[in-house]
Amino acid sequence: MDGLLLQEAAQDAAHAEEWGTDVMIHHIVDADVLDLGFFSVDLSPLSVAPIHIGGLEIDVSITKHVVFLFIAAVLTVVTMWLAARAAHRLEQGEKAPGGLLNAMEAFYLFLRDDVAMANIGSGGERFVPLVITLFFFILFANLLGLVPFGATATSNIMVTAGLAVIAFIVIETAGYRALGAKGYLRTIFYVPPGLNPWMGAVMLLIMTPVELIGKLAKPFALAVRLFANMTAGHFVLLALLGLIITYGSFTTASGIVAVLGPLLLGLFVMFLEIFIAFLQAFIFAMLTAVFIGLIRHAH
Amino acid sequence: MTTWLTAAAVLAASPAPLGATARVAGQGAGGAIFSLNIGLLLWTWVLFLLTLGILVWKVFPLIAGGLEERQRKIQEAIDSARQDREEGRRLVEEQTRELARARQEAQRTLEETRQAVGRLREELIAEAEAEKADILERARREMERERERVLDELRVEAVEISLAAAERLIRARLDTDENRRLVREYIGSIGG
Amino acid sequence: MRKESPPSSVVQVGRHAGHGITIAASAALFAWLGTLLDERLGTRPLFVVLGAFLGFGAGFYSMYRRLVLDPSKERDGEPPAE
Repeated sequence: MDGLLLQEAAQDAAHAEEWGTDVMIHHIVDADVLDLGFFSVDLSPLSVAPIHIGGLEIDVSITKHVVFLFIAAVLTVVTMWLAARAAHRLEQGEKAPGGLLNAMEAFYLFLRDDVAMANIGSGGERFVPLVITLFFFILFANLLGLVPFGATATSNIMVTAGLAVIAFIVIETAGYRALGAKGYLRTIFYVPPGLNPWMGAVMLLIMTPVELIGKLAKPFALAVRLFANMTAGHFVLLALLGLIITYGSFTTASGIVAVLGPLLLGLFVMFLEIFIAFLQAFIFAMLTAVFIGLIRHAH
Repeated sequence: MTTWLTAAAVLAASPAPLGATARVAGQGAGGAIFSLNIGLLLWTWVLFLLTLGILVWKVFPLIAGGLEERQRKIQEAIDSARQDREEGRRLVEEQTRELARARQEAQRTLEETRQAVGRLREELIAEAEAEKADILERARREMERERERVLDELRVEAVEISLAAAERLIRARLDTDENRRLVREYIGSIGG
Repeated sequence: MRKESPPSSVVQVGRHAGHGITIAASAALFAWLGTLLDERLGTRPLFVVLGAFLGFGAGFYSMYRRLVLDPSKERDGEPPAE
């Protein structure tokens, strides 16, 4: 990303004042161009006309975020597959566990035992693949924004919303299967015990929409949390690097300060971003497991 | 790969000519940070579910299998180590027991021997005592008998002597009462 | 199975992260219903205000239930509500 920014900075050196929120937004939002620094790949030939379903306009064109989401998916499958192959080779007794396998195994075991099973409880084995896939998929999508010319698909609200909807469907399905139709409906239609029928009916009328909102609030918070964290992190990075461009060209002295300061700060924020990439992936997976566990044990 | 195939399928299904609708994605829905392009949501589903599908289909069983296999091997190693230790302990216990038994055996044998020796000694002593008593008894009887015999001999001798003396006396003085009395007294003193 | 440890802070945050949104959204929902009612009856702004308060109260009750009522029920041996 830095390379990309500096590249543009060189192009825009004469128009330093133009560097601003427009450019920052440009790096966050989706586009049908892959900016690879020295050249860019135009994705517009892959665009398709929006499909109209009712009043909805659905544009399934392949965009920058789709490409990086695809890369994240491939990376997830490839790393997991490598780890699996290493595990398999180990099983054949050919080779002692290596670095990658050890790391992946540690993640796998942690996600399985301490995230999925610990929060979902007995019968949680069915959800282990989902939780682990969620973690790695989101992790790679997050981290891809930190490599040069990369983009963070998870800084797009629709991507995080898509993941949250999957989580929502799984959570509610798990609740329905664990509680049965009657038990599940009780999580929506709730009447406080010890009320006379009339008051109960009134409470039901008022509380049902609120319970539905409460149900939707969880995946909504999931989606917004991931989106906001990834967007904010990139904004901070971009703003710090933007300082270099803006103040670097005033005088030599201010230039040195303006380059060194934000660069060091940017480095720090970069490490912070890596941490946040892991943290947010973990939180998304963890909370999905927590919500599945909560609704399965609701009565 | 499948994704591109899907994309191609979508493209093929689309009636619009390629490139004719090229535009910056998201612009139609604002083009800002909060661009609400449902297409991207669909792409997210497709890609995520594909990833999940491939992982569940091919990868997770391998990892789980590998992990389980390793766990099993470690468990086996632990089990066999425990078994070996148990076996060792059992052997040591057996040895100890064996040793104790041998010692007991030796002790018992020694005790028995000691008792036998004691008994034997007592027997020997008793036997010796008995023999001694027997010998003594025999000796005493022998002596008795000897004395009897000597006495008898003496009596016979005395009678002989008396007869000889009497002969002499008779030759000298045949009818003295005094003499007769003297002879009687003499014989009586010998018989006493 | 694993030992039952008290839920970590991440779990607690996740469990209760939706409450704020729930209160705000239910207040907004009932206020919106209030405006519809007001437009029909011409009583603006009576039902908007009432709806907003009702929504806020309902959202708050939903939170209260999960924060106060369910934990105490749980302590009494009943399983927690979702």
